[in-house]
Amino acid sequence: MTKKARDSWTGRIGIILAVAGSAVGLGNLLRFPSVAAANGGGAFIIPYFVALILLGLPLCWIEWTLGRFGSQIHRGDAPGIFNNLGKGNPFLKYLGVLGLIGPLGIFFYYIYIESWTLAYCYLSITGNYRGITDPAEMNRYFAAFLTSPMRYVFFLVTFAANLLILLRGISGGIEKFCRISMPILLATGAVIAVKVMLLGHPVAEHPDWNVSNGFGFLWNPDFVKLKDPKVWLAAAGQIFFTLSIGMGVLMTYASYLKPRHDLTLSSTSAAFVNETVEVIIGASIVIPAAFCFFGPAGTQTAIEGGMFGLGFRTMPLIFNHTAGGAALSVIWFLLLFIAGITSSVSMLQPSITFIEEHLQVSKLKTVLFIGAICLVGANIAVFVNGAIDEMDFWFSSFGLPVFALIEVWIFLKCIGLDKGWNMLHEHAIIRIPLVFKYVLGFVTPVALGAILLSWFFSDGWRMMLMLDTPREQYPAVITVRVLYLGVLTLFLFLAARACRGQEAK
Amino acid sequence: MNLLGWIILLSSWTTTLGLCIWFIVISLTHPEGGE
Repeated sequence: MTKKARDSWTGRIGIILAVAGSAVGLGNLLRFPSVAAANGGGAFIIPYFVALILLGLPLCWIEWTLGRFGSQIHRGDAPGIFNNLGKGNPFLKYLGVLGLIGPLGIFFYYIYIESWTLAYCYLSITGNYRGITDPAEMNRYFAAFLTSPMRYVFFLVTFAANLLILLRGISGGIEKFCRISMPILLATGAVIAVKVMLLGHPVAEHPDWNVSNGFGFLWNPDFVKLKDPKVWLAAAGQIFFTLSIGMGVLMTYASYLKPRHDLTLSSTSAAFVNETVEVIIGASIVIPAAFCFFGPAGTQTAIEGGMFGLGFRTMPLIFNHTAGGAALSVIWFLLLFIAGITSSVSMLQPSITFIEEHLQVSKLKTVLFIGAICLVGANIAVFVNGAIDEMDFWFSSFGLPVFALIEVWIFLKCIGLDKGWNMLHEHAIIRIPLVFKYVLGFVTPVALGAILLSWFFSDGWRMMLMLDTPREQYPAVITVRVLYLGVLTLFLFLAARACRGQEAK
Repeated sequence: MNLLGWIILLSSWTTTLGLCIWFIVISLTHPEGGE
C-alpha cells in the first residue's frame, strides 16, 4: 500500500487564521471583560500583560517548536512526538495522552454551549424573544430554553457541523473554514463594538449611565487589587484560556506546516490577532453596553451572573431596548457562534491526528470514532446537572496547566534550550529578542510551577476531595470522574498499542 | 472614565492593535516558504 501524503496548510495566512480561530472563542468576548472588571479593572491589564509575556507567548513558541519536530517525523500527536523525543523512556508517550484528552474533554461541554449561540441566532432571526424587556422574564426565557427539546436539536446540528469540517481535513476543512469565518468574525465584532460606542446614554433619566462611564467601569484602575495574589492567578488563568495553550492543539496544528515554513512570525501573529479581539473587541461590548442600560449596580449583578448570563440574558435584553436590535442580536450570536466553532474544531484535531496517523485508520472511521466518544461525553454535559463545572475543573483548570508543564519539561529535557531556540528560528522571518530564550528556559517553568502549586493549595485539593461539593452534586461529580478515567484509560491503551506498532516497524 | 483609565485603555489598544497590524503586514508582504 502506498503511503498517503500528509495534509498541510496551504499558506501562512491560512495557519495564522486557523490558530487565531482556535484561540478566539467565547472566552474573549464574555470571560475576559467580566474577569477584568472583577479583578481591578484597568489595573488587571498589568498582570495580564505580564502573564502574556512570561507565560503565554513562551508556551506558544514551545508548542509550535514541538509541532515542528512532529512535522519532521510525520507525527502531529503528543504521544507520538513525546515517544520520539524521549527515546529510551517508554513513559513519555503516556504523558502525551493528557494532550489528547484535555481538549477532547473541553469539547464535551464547549460544544453544548456553542450550540446555544446557534439556537439564539435562530431565535433572534425569528424574533422569538423580541418583546422581553424585563430581566426576570429574560431569566425565565433562558431557563425554559435550557430544558426545551429544541436545544438538543441545535446541539446535534452544531455537533454534526463540527464533524463535517473535520472530515474535510486540515487544508480543505479547518483552513478553508477559518479563511472565510475569521474575517466575518472580525467584521461582526467591529460592528457590535462600534454600535456600543455610539450608544450615548440610552436611559434618559440616568445621564451618568453613558458609554464613557461604561468603559470607566471596566478600565478605571484599582491598584490596591494588585496586592491580591488571586488577581495575578486570574490573569494567568485568562492567558491560558485565551491562547489555547496546554491543549496540544498548537502542537498538532504546527505539525502540519511545510518544512521551510516560518514559526516565529506565524505564532506571534496568531497570538496578537487573539489579543486584539480580546482587549479591543471583547472589552468594548458586554460591560459598556450593560452599564449604559443597567448602571453600575446592575452591571455588577450581571457580572456575578457569570459569562453565560452576560451573553444570553444581558445582551438580548439590551438589544430589545436598542434601535435595530433585531439585526444586532443576530450579528451578536453569529459572532459568538463563529468564535465557538473555530475553537471547537481545533479541540478534536489532536485526537483525530493521533488515531488517523498513529493507528493508521481512515479519516472517516477516525472522525466517527472520536465523534462517538464525544457524543457520550457531550450528552453527560447536556443532561447531568452540574457536570459542566466538574468537566471544566478536570479537563481545563487541572488538565491544561499540568500538560503545559509537561510540554516545557519535555522541551527543555529532550530538545534542550539551545537546540529548541534554534529550531524555533529555522526559516524565521522575524527574530524573537534573545531575552525570551532565558524567559522560556527559566522563568516560564518556575512561574508555571508556582501557579499550579498555588492553585492546588488554594482550591484544587478541596475540589479533588469534594470538600465543598454539595451532596446533591455528588452524582454529577462521580459521573464526570468515571468518564474522565474511562477516556484516560482508553487513550492510554491506544497510545501503548500505537507506539508498540511503531517500535515493531 | 478617569484619566488613568483612558491612558491604560489607549496604551493597551495601540500596543495590541499596532503589533497585530505590524505582524500581519509582514506576513502578507513576505514570500511564502516552500517545501
